[in-house]
Amino acid sequence: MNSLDDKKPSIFNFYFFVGITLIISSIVEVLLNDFLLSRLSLPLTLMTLIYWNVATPRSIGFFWTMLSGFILDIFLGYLLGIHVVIFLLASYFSQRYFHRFRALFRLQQSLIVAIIVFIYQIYFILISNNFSLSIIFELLILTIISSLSWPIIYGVLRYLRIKLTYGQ
Amino acid sequence: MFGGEHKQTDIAQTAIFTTGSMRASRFYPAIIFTFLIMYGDYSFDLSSKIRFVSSYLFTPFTQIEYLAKDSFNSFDSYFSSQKKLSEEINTLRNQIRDLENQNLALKNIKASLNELEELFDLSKSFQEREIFLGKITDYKKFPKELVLVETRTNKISKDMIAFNVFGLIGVIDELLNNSIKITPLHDASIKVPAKNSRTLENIIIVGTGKPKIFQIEEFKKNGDIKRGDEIISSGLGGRFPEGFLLGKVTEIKENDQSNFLLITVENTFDFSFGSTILFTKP
Repeated sequence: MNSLDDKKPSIFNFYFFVGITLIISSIVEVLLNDFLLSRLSLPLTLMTLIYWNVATPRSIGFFWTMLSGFILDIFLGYLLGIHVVIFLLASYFSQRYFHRFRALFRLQQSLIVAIIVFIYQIYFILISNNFSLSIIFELLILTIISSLSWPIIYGVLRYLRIKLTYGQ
Repeated sequence: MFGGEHKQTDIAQTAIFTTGSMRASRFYPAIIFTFLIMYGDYSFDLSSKIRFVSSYLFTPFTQIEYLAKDSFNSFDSYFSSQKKLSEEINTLRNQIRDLENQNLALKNIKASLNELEELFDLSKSFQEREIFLGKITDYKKFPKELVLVETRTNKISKDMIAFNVFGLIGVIDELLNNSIKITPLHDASIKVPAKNSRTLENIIIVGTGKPKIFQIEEFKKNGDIKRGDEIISSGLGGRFPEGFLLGKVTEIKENDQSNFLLITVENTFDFSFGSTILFTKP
């Protein structure tokens, strides 16, 4: 139709690329969890999922969302579906409000991500029924780290997306 | 020119006006499906089975860490052991070199001691005479052959003569501050009063300038001399002491136009040998 269409990768390739980034982030999250030996984990997969839902709502599918969730459930030792449920919810709300989210400044986005991460971590604290001062400390630390790492994740994934989409 | 606008339009078309894939009509079944799986896991412990299978499947990957560690350790130990060995070899080489140096030094000391022993044996024949020792510091062949000896005494006088382990080897040429120049006995300028130990006939031997070779001066054709006769110093004139071997007759030549024989006397005294020189008055 136009010259730009020729440069675009097929939707199939992009779909796989999104899936691969999700799986890689899941693996990194599992490895980080092993490395840090913390009860909570840095939610890299969740943040990656939020990015893809906000950036390309059409390309993110159920399959990769659920697969990355199941990977985390299996390797972090949770009941199957625990991560999947929260990922589906995160995807649903991200896609519902992605117009508003995109319009925010990066700092505001980081704040929103921090709130989502905070809720996400609370969800796991409730599931594991493990309330202690140290886990609250972990929760706060991981929330701050997540909000700080959001601009990095956003920048890296955006760069990759533009590279893959336009080859620039 | 319009490429940028074109792209923006395209992005707007593909992104802003999209509805997304996560519609409620898809979301609810997905949630129900997930809950079913959760229930299945809770009831039948599906996740442990999956974990077991996945751990079995991922065994080669999980072993990579250990394999890498083992490989690194064996690689490291190979090089560290090789390094240790090379260091040990170097240490041993240094030790060998030190021992060789020590051995050489000991050999030198032994040679010096032997030399001193022989010099002291020799000095017994000087009876009451004072003796002085000096260290050879230099040996020169040009412009004339001489040995430079370092001494710590100033009692050495020019009329003294020099001995090494072989015996009488030279005379003092020049006295310097803390050192002495010695001219060898075979120097052409040196004449030594001597005698044939067999016939006791007094003769004079002169140096030829060649190491270890002398000639008898003006020995008449009718004189009694044979090859192998030992020539010793006679002590006449008081310049050289009496009774020291100077050499053996090795060659006797006749010349029809002369009344004298041409007699060569040779010894085995090495002028530059050793490290110590003994000085005494004749």
